[in-house]
Amino acid sequence: MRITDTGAARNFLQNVAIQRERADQLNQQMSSGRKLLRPSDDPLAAQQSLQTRASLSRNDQYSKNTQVAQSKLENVDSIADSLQLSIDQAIQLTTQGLSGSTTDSTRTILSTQIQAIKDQVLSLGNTSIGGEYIFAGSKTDTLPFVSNNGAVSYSGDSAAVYTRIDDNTLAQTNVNGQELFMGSKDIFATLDNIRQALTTDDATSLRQGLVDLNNALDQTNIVRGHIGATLDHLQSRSNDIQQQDVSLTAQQSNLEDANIVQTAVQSNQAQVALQASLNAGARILSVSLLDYLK
Amino acid sequence: MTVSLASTLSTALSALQASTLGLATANHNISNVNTPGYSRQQINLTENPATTTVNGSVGNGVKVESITAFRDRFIEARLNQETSSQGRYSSLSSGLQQLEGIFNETTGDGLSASMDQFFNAFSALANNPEAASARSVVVDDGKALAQEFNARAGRLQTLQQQTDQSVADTVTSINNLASQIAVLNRKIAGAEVGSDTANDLRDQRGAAITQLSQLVDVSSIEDSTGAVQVTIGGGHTLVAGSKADQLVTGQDANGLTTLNLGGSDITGQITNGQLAGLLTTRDGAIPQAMSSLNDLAALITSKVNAQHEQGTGLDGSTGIDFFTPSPATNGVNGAAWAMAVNPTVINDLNKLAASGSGILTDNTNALALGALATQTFSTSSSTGTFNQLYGTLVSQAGSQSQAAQNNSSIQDAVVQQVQNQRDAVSGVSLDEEAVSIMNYQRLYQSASKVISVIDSLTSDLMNMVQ
Repeated sequence: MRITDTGAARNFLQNVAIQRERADQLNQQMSSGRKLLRPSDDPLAAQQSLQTRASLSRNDQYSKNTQVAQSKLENVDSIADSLQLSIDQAIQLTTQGLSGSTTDSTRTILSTQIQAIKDQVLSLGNTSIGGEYIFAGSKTDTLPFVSNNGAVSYSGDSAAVYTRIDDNTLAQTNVNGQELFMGSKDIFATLDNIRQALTTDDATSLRQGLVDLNNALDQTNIVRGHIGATLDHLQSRSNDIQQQDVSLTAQQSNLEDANIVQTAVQSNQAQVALQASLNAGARILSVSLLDYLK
Repeated sequence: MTVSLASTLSTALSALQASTLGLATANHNISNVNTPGYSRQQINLTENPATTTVNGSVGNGVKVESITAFRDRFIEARLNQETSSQGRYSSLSSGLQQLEGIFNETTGDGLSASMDQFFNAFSALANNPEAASARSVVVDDGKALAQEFNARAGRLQTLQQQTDQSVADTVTSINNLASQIAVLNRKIAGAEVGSDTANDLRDQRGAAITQLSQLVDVSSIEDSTGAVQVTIGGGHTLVAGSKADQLVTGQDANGLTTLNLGGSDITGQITNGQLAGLLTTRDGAIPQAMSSLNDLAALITSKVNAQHEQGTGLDGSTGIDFFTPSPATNGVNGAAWAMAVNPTVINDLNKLAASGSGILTDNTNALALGALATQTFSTSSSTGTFNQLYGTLVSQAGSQSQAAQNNSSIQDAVVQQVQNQRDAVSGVSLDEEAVSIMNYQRLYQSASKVISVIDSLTSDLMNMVQ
């Protein structure tokens, strides 16, 4: 084929342009550290990277939600712990009341102490954290335990309150206040009965009160058991999220980040090729028969 | 009859004339080495009729029979066709790269991130359903999401208008070239009387047709007078003989440029060239992306609204939309452009419906709204979560741009190859011309020598007679 001067120049320019583009692309990857600079670099990776980012973003929120749930349940658990201490105290006082050596005046003191414990339990039931009554179910703005002439009634609801800790999982962040304080055993009524029995020196009722208090303790143990199980679940979920984040971040990096070593080598090769082209072009294009004619 | 010195002199003269023309043609070739569309020329030599003598036939020198150009019509036609495709792919590639730029979220900010944040904000609201701070975060993130949609719809529209302006500019160039070709047609018909060929005018016309091919799909036929008839848009006559028609622009219902030739609308019939690339971007890719974006905006609006309406605000309000306008009453078109958070909610954060049970401090509706992010929905074209649907839109923009870029660079290589083929036939090689100059120089020198010898012989003869 006849090769003409303009043809050779055009071929040269085109080849140099292609190599320059390649070198520039690699340089962009080097300087940005990324291989995915625009969707057309890798349309599938662009889509996957959006999904990975979305998962990371959701995990971030799930992680916050998990912490919120943990903190709420730890608060509930610590109140339940105080409640158990109060019940223990009431058991001791009741046992003391049953002792044959107890005098009327002592019983009066005991009954006052039982009343104090009831007040304390009532205030535990009405604990409010951050402006929310934690034992009121979903009615967090409503005082859950209201005492009317010593008779305590529940004004909250039995709704479970949840937070999302996974795409498909909700975790309960409260306990049923009515169940904890007034479940199969109504602690307030039990304490009232004991106080009454101490006043009237009714040993049978006192014994019944002791049984009821122990049942109430079991009742709180069951609720605390649920809380413990949920907290365990939240802890393992929190670890899961961390592990997921590690693999999601690695996945995202695979999709988006340039392999610096590989890119550096390729970039070097591209530079060498570009220089070779320029060099060859400069030599060949400058040669003409006219140079040799005198 | 014998040969005279005088007749030998005229033979030498014919050689001088031939070499002068040869040098002139070589010079012309060298001068046009970089002229686009130029075809190298050569002089065709033939012998003068011989004189019969008693000694046999004696030659009478050389004659320049014609000057012809090296041209291959098939390669030229192929070049025009490939140039047309090059124009189309290159303008398509540039348009689609701008389009994908609108959806370039590879660094993490953008619509997708706003969408994640918005639904996360509902999830956070569920932890604290009556807190004003959590409520205002939801509203702010909702505004940010709506603005991301608005901005993309706006940029798509701007890109469409810019592309439309390029269509109008291209039409101007096409009309200019059409006039040039018509003028050249007339000049060629005038110059080619008898067997003459107007080489240079033909080159100019060829270059103009190649330029026109870059812009639009062209087919050209040469008639017996040497004029070409040029048709575009699949057979609509643009140039006939010395008359050029003009592409006339109009406006369609959307204010976009339409193309009329000879009284008929040929906007949809342009199949190649830069114009076809621009029209594909303007009427195909951009409306398609806009429609996907509107579908998604309308989907999010209607799903969020449907869930929000079921909930109850802190003030007991219910049945309130979170986003406006409602796609059910306003349609899907323009949904992305118009999307906004309902002013009723912006003005009173208590209207944000976090409660599902009707108990004002309940959080179940906030949970349900947050859960929309991971639910699967269907639009007219695809199925997935909101984020997956958007991802599909992004990857479509990316893959069509990638395909156009690949096609464009492949087509560049094809055109280069055809140009090399054309050069092999029509291009000027300076080395060849140098050899040719050398040849004619020697011819000139030799013929001059003959003249000087004859001169000296004649002078000797005269001296003898004296």
